[in-house]
Amino acid sequence: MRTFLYKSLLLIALAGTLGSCSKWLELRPADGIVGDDYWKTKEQLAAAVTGIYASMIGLPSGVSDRLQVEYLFMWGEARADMIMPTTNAGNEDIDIYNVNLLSTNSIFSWRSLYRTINYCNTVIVNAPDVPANDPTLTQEKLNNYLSEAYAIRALMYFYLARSFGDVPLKLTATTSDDDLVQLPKTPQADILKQVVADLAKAEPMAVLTFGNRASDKGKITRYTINAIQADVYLWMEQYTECITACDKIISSGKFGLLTGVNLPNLFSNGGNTNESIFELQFDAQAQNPFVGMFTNSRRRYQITPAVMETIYTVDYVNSDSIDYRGSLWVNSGANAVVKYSINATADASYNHWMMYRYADVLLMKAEALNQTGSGRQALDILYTVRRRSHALEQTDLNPSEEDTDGIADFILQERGREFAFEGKRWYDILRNAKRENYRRLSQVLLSMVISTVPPERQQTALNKYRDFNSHYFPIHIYELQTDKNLVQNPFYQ
Amino acid sequence: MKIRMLKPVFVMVVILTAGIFSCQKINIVTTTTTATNLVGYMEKDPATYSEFLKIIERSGTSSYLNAYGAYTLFAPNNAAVKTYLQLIGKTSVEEIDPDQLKLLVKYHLLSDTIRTPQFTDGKLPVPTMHGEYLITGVKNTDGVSRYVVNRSAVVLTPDVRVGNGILHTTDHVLIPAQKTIAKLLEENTSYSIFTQALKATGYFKTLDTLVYLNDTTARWLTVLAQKDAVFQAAGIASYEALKARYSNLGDPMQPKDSLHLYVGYHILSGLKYVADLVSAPAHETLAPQEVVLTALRGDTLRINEETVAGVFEKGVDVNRNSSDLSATNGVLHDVSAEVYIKVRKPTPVYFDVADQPEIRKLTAKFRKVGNFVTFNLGDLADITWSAGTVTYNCYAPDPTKGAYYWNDWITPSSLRTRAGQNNWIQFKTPVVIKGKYKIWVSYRRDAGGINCQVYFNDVLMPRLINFNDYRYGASTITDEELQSQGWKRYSATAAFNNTVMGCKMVGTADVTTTGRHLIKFVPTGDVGGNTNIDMIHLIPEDMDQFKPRFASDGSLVY
Repeated sequence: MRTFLYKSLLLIALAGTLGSCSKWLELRPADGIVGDDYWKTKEQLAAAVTGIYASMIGLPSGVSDRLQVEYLFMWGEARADMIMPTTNAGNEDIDIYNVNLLSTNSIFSWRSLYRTINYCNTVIVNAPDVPANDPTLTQEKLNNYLSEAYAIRALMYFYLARSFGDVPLKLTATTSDDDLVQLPKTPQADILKQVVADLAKAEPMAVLTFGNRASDKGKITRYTINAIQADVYLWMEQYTECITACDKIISSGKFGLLTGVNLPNLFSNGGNTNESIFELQFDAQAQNPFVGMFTNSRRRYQITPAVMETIYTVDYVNSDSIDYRGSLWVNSGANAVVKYSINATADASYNHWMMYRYADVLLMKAEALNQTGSGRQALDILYTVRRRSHALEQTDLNPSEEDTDGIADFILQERGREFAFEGKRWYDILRNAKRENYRRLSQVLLSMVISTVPPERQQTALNKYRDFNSHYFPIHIYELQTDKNLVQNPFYQ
Repeated sequence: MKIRMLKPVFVMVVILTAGIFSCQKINIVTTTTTATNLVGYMEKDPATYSEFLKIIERSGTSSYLNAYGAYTLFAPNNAAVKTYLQLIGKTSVEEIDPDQLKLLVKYHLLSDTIRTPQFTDGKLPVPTMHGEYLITGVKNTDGVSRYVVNRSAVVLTPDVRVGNGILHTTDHVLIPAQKTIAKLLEENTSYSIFTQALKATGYFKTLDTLVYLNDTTARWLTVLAQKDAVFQAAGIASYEALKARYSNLGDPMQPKDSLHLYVGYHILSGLKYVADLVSAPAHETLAPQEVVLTALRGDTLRINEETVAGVFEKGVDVNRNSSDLSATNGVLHDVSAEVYIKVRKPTPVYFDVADQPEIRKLTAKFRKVGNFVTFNLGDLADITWSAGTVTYNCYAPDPTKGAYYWNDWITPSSLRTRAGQNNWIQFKTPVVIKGKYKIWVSYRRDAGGINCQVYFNDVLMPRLINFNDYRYGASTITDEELQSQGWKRYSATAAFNNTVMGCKMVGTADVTTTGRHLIKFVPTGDVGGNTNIDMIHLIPEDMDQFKPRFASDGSLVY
């Protein structure tokens, strides 16, 4: 009897403990949000979209990498003729300058861009479920958010396709280890098709204005999408579409060219000028790496001699006659890039990174017009851009209206002066060189190589560049090791 | 007893059995890496390397190449070895003498790890174990660019990292040069005049051997040869015509004969491929104290293009396609026009140290009164110094004080001996024609730069210059008295009693080669303060040392 009593008591006690267990067996974290609980409200969606921009400006916690703009700068400038490594530069910088592109070079890591693409994919996949939980999210608002994700994904893939040629195309979100996939490469042409499709989808959904200047310049508006479209179509040699896209921006009447004393404001005083279309909004909390890269005593890059000698040139006769851009963006006495250092210091380096601005749209239109046989109109636009910066007489090539190649060279040179150090130079040169099946490889690309690479490597470099596959970067070794479906780009095998 | 003995034995057997079985489980890794060495790597892939392995085996270098070390091996694939066998008329590797094969292997082997990023247009940084240098480049065939070695062997798989070095697989066997420069020239009929001239001057013998200095250092030579067509274009139809034009003593064998010098001027000391010629501005020739100047214009190498005394002289192109021919004792280049020693009379150089190309570009500051610019080390190509900065100044003249030529001057950070401070400053002069020159330093007196030693091309000048010195110019001293002490009043703007604008002669320099030279100031006193350097005059010793004088508006007063 006694044993029975004890046994019963024990059982009851056990049952009690079992019941109380249910609370502390809960697996959900108390101090965070898991996927199931996210994507419920429009505020959460807004935060996720903001996260996309944040990934372009800064680094997510726990990730150690270069900032994305540093990659965009190096990819767009390191192989071209306007910057060169200083004595403080690392071997990786010098290897690129010597035209030795190695797959072990971490400058060719594309992770930063794919990280942003994944943020976009996450929004694109999950956002459509939000209205079911939060009826206050209107369809229009949802579309606005989606357009931002589609446009930035397109922009990222456009950079990747221009830099690496064929790259893996990932359109689904990776949110856990279960989602990891090993993708093979997709041909450059298909990547560009996807970019065009994404932009076409995003365009009608995008806002024309967010109602405040910082958002209009720092986030994707319909004009940003048009600017990306123009750039993509120009790369794809679809000139009529390019002109259409440019005209949408030009006819909006919302943008103009800064002139005279206002020109430095493009990059200083917080940027976001009338000329800007899309720029990355660095600020005191999220700073850019540029002052350290260009202006202090440990700087990695300096300007090449060509910048002052042939690109901007100097009027030795009349010292008052200067190209404003040459004097604003360059400190020729110290061979330094100062575009991002105006009013900035090493501790407060947050001048914005320019993705697209009105001058870019005008010159893209001029380039497209020239290719479609409207040389006169192209030159008119070109001279408008030159006038506002007081370009020197010495840099006026004076091509005739019928001289398509002459005008193309003139526009290319002007783009060098206008968008110096904005991460566009290499892509501009490659676009012009590869046009019509690399018709002008030697006039555009090889002539640039002759003047930039070290003399004892010049012939080697020239012959490397004669292989079109060498115009694209090698895939970084880490990606090849982790994704067995990836094949190294042909020139680097 | 029996049972008691059995028990421990049984226990021992059990323990031993258990021990044996447990031993088999332990798997100790005794190697630190699974990477193979050069030979081991090639053995894994007989389809590519079996023939070359036979060569290595037969030459007796196999174990050597499979041992610890740091090598670079250019390994020809099987097809390459077969082509090579056909070329020398053999059917198998076994027919070739092992010693000959050993030389061949040595020619493919470098005792350093050289990866393709170190390949340039010219030679590799280290010679092969055979003793000669390999030259590299990139060749584009059918749109595909690949590295090539010795212009013929395409590198199929570059940069394979193995345990004891780097392996590059090539599609041709590398064949060492067989001929000397002299032989190369002799058998090429288009160099007949040049070859005749070589023979007549005795240089043919020089170019027919490889001389070793102290038995170890090879004395390589580089020849800039001229084809007959080049001579003909210059109006020289035959060797006789050449001799008639240049030989002044009638005996070209004599070192002082002009034709001897002319031919010697075409031979450079050292192994210099085009890539080496573009890497340095001046190269010594066998003509005593004569240099060949080189410069890269676009993608052409140009010889002797320079601006002398304000006159631009166009240079001579090197034909890249027929240049860079390797020989056993050097390299042969082909020039497209006549290269000869230019006879020039020494001309004074009035070197305005503030006139630097980088400063000239700053048009708003250069020679604009009221400006200064500060430069960091590396900003100016032709001025170097040990620490601190260099400032360009331009201010309005004051006849009693500052009266600089063009109003501008250079001020480096305090020139003093203290460690870590600016201990020297060096200027690169404009082109100076060879001859004997007196060197004058013009400055405005200030605190720093006490008793500076002056070096001209690392040769110490006899007199010190003290940039703090100002007592020379008292109005009681006449020009003649001043000049007799090695001073002069060089400024045309400064008043006669100006005591601070000084110009002192530091000595006579023997400028042995026409070209740009270095002048360095090294202080021996440790006093802080500015040093204001305006000009450096290099005046031929037999010319008037005191005229012209220099005005602050840039004019010269005779």
